[in-house]
Amino acid sequence: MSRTSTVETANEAWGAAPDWVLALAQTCDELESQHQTAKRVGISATAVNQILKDKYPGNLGNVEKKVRAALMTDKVSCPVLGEIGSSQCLENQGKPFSAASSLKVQLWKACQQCEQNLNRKE
Amino acid sequence: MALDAQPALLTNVTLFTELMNRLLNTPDHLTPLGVFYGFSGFGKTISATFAANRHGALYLEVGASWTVKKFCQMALKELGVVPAKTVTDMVEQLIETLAIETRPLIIDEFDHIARMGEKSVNIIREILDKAQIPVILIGEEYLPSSLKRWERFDNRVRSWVAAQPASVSDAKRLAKMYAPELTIADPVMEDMATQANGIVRRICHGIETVREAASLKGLSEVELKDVADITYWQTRPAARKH
Repeated sequence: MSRTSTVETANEAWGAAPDWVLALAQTCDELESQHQTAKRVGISATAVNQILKDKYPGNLGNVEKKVRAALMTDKVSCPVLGEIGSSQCLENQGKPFSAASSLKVQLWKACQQCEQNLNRKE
Repeated sequence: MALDAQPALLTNVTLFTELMNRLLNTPDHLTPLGVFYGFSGFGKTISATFAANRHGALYLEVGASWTVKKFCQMALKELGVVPAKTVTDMVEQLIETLAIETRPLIIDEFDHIARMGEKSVNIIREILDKAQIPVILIGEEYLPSSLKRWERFDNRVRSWVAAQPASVSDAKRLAKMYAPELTIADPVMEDMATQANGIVRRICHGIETVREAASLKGLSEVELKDVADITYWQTRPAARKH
């Protein structure tokens, strides 16, 4: 079944949609649901639909903040530390083995076999 | 189990986080020093790693074999500094690095340093006094009484916090964390918490035992009758005769 992608719809409606609207549209495409996307961002499904069509009557600045915080932060999910910034993840990957604490040893072991590790040995 | 949202609600994690926040807000004329103590298996370390992760603290677990020199080398390596040759110089490096980075310092298993005697403890005190960063020392139940021998150290402590035994609600949270696929009935967790006598680590062993038993019996929900025939954790095996 071919649907027009939400990104295309948004671009048509906005002319050239700003990055945060595109991120919202992309998420709608990925999840195949505006409703699920709305839940993830913490706004109503109606609001998502109106933003994509550039017909949102409310304060765009507020929803922009919410979209950026929910969908555009550079976060990775670390099996040991939970949600961390990707820069912290990269920094940890580059660190040699350390016996300073059991946490550090756990982290090192996890890094060795983690898909997010850029220099993982296959 | 990752160190994010889930452990945040455990009693001792909350206590530790509160201690960290209190120290971070210490006025300049006081030393931001805290001591977190409690019996073995109370979950002190998980509380500390949680806070360390959240505040970007330098977290060290002192080994039984460590000397002060080893402590300094380990701390500097963690901070990404090449350690100098002597303890004197390393202490200077530590003070400088910690003061500039303003990272809190958490020293777990501090009993080992306390046991080395007054000189070693005073080296830590020097770092703390000069760098003026929040420092939390973690140790077993008797750490406060061993630190109270040295007034110079003792009167710097801003706050002594005792780790608490695990409550029933802690036990239920642990079950959600370590056996998320299972629904364990409340009476089971209450029974386990009572038997564990507040020791978090025993509850963790218990949850794992229940998980194994449930997968053997093919259960997704565990009631009290399902665990009637299992011991949650093994105590010391009896001596064997032949």
